[in-house]
Amino acid sequence: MSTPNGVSAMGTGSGVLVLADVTRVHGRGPTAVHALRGVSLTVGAGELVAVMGPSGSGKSTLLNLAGGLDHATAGMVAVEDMDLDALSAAQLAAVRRRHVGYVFQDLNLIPALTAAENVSLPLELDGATACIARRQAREALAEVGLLELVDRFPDDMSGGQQQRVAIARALVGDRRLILADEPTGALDSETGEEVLRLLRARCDAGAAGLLVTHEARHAGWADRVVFLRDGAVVDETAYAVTPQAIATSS
Amino acid sequence: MTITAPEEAPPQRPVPATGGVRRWWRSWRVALRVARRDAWRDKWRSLLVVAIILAPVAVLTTIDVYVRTDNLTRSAAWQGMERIGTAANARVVAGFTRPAAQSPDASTYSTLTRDGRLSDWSTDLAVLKVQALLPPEWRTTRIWTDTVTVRSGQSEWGVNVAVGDTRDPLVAGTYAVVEGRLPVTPSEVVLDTELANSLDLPVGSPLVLYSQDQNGNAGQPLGQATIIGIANGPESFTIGAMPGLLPGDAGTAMTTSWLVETPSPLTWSDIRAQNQRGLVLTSRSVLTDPPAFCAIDQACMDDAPLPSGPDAGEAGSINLSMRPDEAAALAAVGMLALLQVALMAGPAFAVSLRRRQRDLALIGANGGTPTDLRRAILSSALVLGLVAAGTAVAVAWLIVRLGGMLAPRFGKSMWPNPVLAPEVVAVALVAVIAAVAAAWVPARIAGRTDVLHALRGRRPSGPLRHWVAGLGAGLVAGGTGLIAIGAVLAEAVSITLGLLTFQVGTILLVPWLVNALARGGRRLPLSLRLATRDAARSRMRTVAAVSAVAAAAIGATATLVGTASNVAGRSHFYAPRAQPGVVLADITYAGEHPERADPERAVAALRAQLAESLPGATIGVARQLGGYAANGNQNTTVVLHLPDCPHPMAEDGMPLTGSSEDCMYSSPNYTLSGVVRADDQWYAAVTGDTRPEMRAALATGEAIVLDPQALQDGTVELATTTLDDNGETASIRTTALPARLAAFNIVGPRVIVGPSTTLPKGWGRDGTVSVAVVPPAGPDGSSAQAAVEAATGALSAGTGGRWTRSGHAYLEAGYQDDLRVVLGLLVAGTLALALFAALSVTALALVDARPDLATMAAVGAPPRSRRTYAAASALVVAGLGCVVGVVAGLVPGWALARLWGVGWQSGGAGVEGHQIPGSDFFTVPWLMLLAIAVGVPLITAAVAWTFTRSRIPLTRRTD
Repeated sequence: MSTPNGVSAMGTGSGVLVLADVTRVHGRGPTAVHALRGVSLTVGAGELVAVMGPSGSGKSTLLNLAGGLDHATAGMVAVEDMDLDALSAAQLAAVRRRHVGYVFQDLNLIPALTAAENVSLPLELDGATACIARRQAREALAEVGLLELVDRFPDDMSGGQQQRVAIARALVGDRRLILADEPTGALDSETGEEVLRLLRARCDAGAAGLLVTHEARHAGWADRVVFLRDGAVVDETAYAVTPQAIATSS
Repeated sequence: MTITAPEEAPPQRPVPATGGVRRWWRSWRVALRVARRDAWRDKWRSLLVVAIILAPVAVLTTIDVYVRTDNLTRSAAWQGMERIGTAANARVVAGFTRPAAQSPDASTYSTLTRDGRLSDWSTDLAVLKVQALLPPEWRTTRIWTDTVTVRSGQSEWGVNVAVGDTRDPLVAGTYAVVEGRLPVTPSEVVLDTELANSLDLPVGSPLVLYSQDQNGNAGQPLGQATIIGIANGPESFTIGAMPGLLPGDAGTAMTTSWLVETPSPLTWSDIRAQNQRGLVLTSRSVLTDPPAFCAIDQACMDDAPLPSGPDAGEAGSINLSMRPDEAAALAAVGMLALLQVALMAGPAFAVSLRRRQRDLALIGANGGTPTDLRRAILSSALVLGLVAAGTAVAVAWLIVRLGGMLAPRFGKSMWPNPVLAPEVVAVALVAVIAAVAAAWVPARIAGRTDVLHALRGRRPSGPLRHWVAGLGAGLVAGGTGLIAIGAVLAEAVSITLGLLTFQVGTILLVPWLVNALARGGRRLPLSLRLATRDAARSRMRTVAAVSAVAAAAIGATATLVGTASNVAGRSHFYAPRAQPGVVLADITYAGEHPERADPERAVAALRAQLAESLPGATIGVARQLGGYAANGNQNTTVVLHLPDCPHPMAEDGMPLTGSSEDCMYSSPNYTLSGVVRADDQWYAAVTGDTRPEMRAALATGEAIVLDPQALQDGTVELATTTLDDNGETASIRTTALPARLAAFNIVGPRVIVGPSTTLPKGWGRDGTVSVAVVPPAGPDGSSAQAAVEAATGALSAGTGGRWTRSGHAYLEAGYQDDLRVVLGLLVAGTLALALFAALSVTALALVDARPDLATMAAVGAPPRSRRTYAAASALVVAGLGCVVGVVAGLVPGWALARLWGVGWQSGGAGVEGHQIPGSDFFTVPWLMLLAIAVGVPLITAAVAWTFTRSRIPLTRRTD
């Protein structure tokens, strides 16, 4: 297992993503806001976990903590056995380049870069040569069925195409954790289903996925659903048979 | 549910009127109010825009106000005010037996004939008769002037003495006391600052006043007084004294005036009434408020044509008329300056548009027309432009007023209230025009705002218009043509207009260049790739900034190339005065009896002195031929007589100087020139020629000619003129000498004769001696120069000032033209402009790139990414601007090289070079241009990198 900048791995079990008793408090004193309260969650390889809850329940905070964009006030967040709290800013950036892929609701792509350049961004930032980065980006785009759009700019793509490029970017290289924050929020239902089908497929291929969504229909693509309210896990479904599994078994 | 149609159509609302002046004004009023509040809310941005516009406009306005005020200060009106002082309210300046006519400031006046016409005013009255004309109810005090000579050391000065009872309260304000006090007894005097500095006598020193003889030299002592202060009056070089110091005390009517206190201020009609009695006056109330027919700074008379005479045109009127070509060149320069200001302020309005994009979208969503949207941006420019204009005028007025208040400390005076002329309003209007021009493109884009696009937060941008680039290319080509024509014809107007056209064309080309850079930047590193594409996506702000940098770089490059070429030409044609390292010093006899000068003795003393301070130095001596003849005071001048040239003597007996097309005479710039008698050491030191045959020539009485034109058939013809005691030509004689040619490019002498050369009797001796010192190996040139200075100084002291050095000792060090400071300032100025333009755009780019930087953070960009992006953005703007500017600046640079080259190519002999028809120098200072094209962008990027926070936004959103 590769570790960013020589950080040693720790034994936290078999999950790609492990959150153990994580608390996040914004502010202090009487104005303190508890965004998360003692949340524990493990996402394993090949597993897609959906997080649901009303606005302000802490879903996005959970995602930010999982990607190292934010720090937990208490508890532990580990990605592929690395304790994110112990890493410097530069090491966290390296984790995001090599281990974690993000997919947001919108503004996922940098408009000044082509599809291939957007996908190869983490590789380029990691020092890969332009040739290698572009080759891997083409492969990733081919996997999401967008090989014909490699040189197109985001402004010239549809919303669904943009999200598929974002998923390609989230998986380019050896990354095994996809963090998706309302990835279908800005899409029509048909395109949204396509994006989720793709996400599901990537997880079935071995990636770990954490999907934040409002819609139960989309959560149906997940193996498990975790319900958040006021920053705490209030419910959690058992491992479920997904529509994709049904479709493939039939 | 069933929907039924209404039985009657609802009454239609009246359609609001869409036109009319009232609606137009209301729309502007609302827009201006919003703009004013917006400017106040965003004070720092407003301050920045105002500062950008204010700085050049304030400088122009200050110059204009200063020039006008200074002209007024030198006008007859101001001098009249100074002469009246603060206590008196009028001054009688002349009196006649007949009625007179005068201008309001009395700068011109004359008597009238019986039929009322102007006549010659030679019939001035005696002082007492004028005094008798003064009305008895006026309180008066008399002031008159005389001319005397004063001495300090060996020097004499002819000065004016203003005599008047300085104890009289009416005199108050006619002197500004700088030090000490005004005299109260006849044995006390005050000097003005200029005279005190010249005499170098401290307050408390005695001063003897001598009469002046007909030659202006000191005559008999007239009186002695103590200097008790320094005080400045309206005339420079003046002594202020009490009556009784000088004998006579009468003066004449023409040098006498009366300070007057009248019961009531004298109006123009009062003055006209006194004119009928023969008095000519200045009155404070008329000077400050002249009659309607006459401006305060003009010499004019209401009932008669202006008299001709030496004073008629010296009333301080301001002549602003200029030739059409000068006006065109000035207008083009003004347009260039305006363009630069507009370009500098442009990015600020691009920021404004970006910031107000949502407001504009809301206006559009609520029925605002494109005109309303444009107006929203233009009104902001109008408000800021007006603030800048008002501030510029106020700043200029304050600076000039402050200068006026401080001027007396330096012995000067200034018109008390700076003049705000119509030109000032015009210059201030430039501020408003510049602001509106800067906001024009953002306003046009605002007018095309796509409401939905803007509400979604997309950046305002339009498609790239290729025809604009085509037009730009055409203008660049046209501008180049104009510049080329101007360069060939040496026409500044054509070059300036061409430069303006060229500049506008370049600006129109910049969008295409920005786009091309983005398209061609596929292989660039990530940050640069992002920066180039962002620059293309936000063309509006980028184009303004890149154009501003390019305009500055064009100016700097053109000046650098022009200057370097000019320096190369001057250096190429530089003619030294001697061999490198040789020190030259000219000593002149300044004693009263030139015929008694003993140059041999002075030179021997100098040699002895230099033998101690510069042992081993070789000393050569030369003497200017001509000067005072041995037999009296007759002045003899020896000059060259060139074949086929006009006789070298002008009608007044003085030698011609300078050059015509083929005829060169002695140089006016050097003490020793023309024909000199020199020993062989001097000849070798100056020319570097050590050939034995030339030494032999000098020893055998041959002349050595340095100018090929002077030699004809192996002889050179010299001419002499002798002036008699009255300064008139007594005789002109010519003589021919055998001569050899030694065509060295040396400034100064044209013909050299040896010490033993026999010249016709009466050719005389001259007081000027040139000493050429070749220092021994070892000491550097400057210490040898110091030693020669010291030796000649000692000679002067040892001879009681009879022998003095002319100027400083001159060290020949080859061509010296240290332009490093000027050129360095040019590069620094370009850097400052590039920094300003690039950093302001980079700041905007960082704001715009916030979501992109957040995305980059999410995919693992290292913390320094924001800095790298900022540096890349600055590099793109400054780099593109500087490279475009440097490349484009070569064309006007070539034109300037040709234009400025004309000056030295046609310069006279003995200056820096001879006229070389068709010679052309085009030197490109590559190192300096590299500093602009590469150094300036790199420094700009480094500054952006240094002053940008490295932290990038980590979170996309927080719950």
